[in-house]
Amino acid sequence: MLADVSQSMTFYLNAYEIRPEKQSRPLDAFRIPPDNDVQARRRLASILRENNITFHRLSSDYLGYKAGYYIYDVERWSQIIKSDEILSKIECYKEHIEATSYVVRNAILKLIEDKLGRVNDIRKIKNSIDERKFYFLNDLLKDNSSIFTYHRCFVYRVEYFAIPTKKLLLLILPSLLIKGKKSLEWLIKEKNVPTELLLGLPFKVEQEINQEIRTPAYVGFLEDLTDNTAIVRPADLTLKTVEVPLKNLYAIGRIDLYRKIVEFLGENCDLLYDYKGEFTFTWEKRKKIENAPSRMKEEVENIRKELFSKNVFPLKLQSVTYTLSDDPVSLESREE
Amino acid sequence: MYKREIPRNLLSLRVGMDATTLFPSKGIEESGPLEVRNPSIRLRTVYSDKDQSQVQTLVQKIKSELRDVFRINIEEEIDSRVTGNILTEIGDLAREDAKRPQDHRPIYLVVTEKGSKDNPSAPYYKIKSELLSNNILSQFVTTDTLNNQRRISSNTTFRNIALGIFVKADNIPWHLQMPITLNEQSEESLIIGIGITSVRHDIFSKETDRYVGYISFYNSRGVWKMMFPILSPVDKIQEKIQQSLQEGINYTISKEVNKLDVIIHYAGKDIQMEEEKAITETLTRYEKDTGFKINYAIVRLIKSAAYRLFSNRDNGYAPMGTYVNFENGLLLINTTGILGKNATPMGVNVPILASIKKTNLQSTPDLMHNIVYSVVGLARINWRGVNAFNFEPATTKYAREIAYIMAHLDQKIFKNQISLAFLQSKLWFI
Repeated sequence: MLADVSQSMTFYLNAYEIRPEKQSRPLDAFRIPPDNDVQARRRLASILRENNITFHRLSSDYLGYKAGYYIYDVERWSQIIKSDEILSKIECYKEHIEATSYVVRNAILKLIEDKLGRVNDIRKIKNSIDERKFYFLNDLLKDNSSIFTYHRCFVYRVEYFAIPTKKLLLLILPSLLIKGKKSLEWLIKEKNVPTELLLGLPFKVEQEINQEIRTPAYVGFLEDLTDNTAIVRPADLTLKTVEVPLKNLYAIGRIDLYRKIVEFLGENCDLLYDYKGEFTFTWEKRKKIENAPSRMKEEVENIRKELFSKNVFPLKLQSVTYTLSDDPVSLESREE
Repeated sequence: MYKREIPRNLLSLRVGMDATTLFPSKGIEESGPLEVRNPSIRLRTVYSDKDQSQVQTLVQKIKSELRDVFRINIEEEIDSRVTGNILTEIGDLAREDAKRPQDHRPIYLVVTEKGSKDNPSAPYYKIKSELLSNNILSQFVTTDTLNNQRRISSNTTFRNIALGIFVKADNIPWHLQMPITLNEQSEESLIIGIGITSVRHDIFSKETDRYVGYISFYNSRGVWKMMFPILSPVDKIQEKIQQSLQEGINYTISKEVNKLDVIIHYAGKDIQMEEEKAITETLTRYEKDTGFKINYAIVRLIKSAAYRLFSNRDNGYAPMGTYVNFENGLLLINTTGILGKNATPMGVNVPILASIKKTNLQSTPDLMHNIVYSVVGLARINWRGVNAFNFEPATTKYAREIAYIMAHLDQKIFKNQISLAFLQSKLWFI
């Protein structure tokens, strides 16, 4: 591969700047310190969730901000705590927060999530503290597989940087989501897939409730089968295996491990590989995609235009309106 | 927030005949490996009946790679075709070989079906731990590799397998041309990888039953020195880390050193504030007890960060060794990317996000630069394959394999001094 030396090298991140309009007023927030008793903490978490409150949780003092919950739905919160016996007793401080600051990150993350949640052809799939994952409903395989569906998807985060100037960035990482379409029960009972092809394979174990503990979906490896249950070994290190109903197990996107199953079903495994390669920017027509980063950068740009610029921004938090830059963040080069 | 690059000479590797190279495969082919300590080995090939025809070609090709490229010979070659359960039969073979003196035990070349290494119960881990219980090292090849036309027609496949055997026999294929340091005054550096994994009773419980893991020591050129396997009850983990760290430093540094740089890499969520505190306390106490000056940096490596780094040239790839200093203790490091005229073999390269958790030095741009070199350098020094592009440094790369193998080992092995010395001094996890 020959480098094109005629142009100077510029570097970019898969990120765009989120800018408050000029001369924005500071945001108002209630800060609740984190050192409450267990009962108050539980009540706080449940009220924040049930009322879909916009907040940022800061676990320890950082960048001049004190630890605590920064709550931006100030008027609603004032109403909620008035009538709540537990929350009305906990410490709460009124603060003024700069529109571009560390403790506004997750409030913006959540406002974006609310707006994306109203877009018809996408769905949220993952919700962790600092990032969200959405996927497009359209199946890229167009029913060419009976056990998998493929979907464009993306993760987004909101990050804050203080130097050289204060900045909020929206990070967008596109990828491919491979979903299991049919359960292990279907593979065994409807398609008579032999046990020896299934043992040792990884499956997604759908959410279960065991002894009143709700366990999020996890990956487990099939160790044994009975009529209606599977014995799985969780991918996380645990001492015990788990018994799971066959209907709760779904194939995961390890196409390499599922080749024999796909072939048993009389379907085209190469097609699954080809689509996976193309949508993960890896290979195309059995050949390496030479310009993989450029292709991914293009997809980042498409998601920005298609979703964020069209459906999310401008974004309003109290009286502050945030807009999204058109160009990705480029990096200043410094060689000492 | 700005971008900077590791200079090209820091990416160079030293191989045999005092030669340097950016590409290990080509380097050792032209100049041989850096150091042959053990020029002849014993090899036992264990395989199933049905794979017999492919195994002969496999062994021939590995032998020629070992002889022509790595410059070592197979002194004794043992063929073990198994007809029944490979795990049972390999156990019997290992127990027989365990009767030989340690330096006469063969390295096992094991041919097995492909399975997911994410599976803690995969045959790979069971066989590996069965062999380790008898102080026997092993190199695995899957039947998928043998049946893949593209892979068996490439010399690289056999060179990678031969490399695994070569390093397990205590030999050194290459190291970094330039040393890793934290600052100019240092006399010696240690790069330490820590991996701790919790073992829960079951998936529904949040409580940890015990911890498994390791502390691995590398010198300033990235050469692996030793590893302390860790098996610990929950309440003893910090104590175990402190003890292993102190013993490892004692064992690996030169006698005459007065100023030592220590860079610690860890990944994963099981090392938290308490463990970081235990590490810094150990280093501070060591400094007091010995009168050494120790400069240290504890760095958390995040392997699945959402960041990607693009350029407007070379199809969008940024050069290997490019990094972004976010100026808040975070560094985004391109451990792969463009190197010379070559790019990462497949797809968009994933940079590593490094978070400087603790240091007793001032957070200057030069310190950040040196920490970046420790990450890029240890990624260059990965001895698992001859490929020039390794995303993850050797310090953290084997965390999962080590944890899963150790979870299968009989706990008695950790009380047996001979077995423990074997686990500490051999590259069994690569």
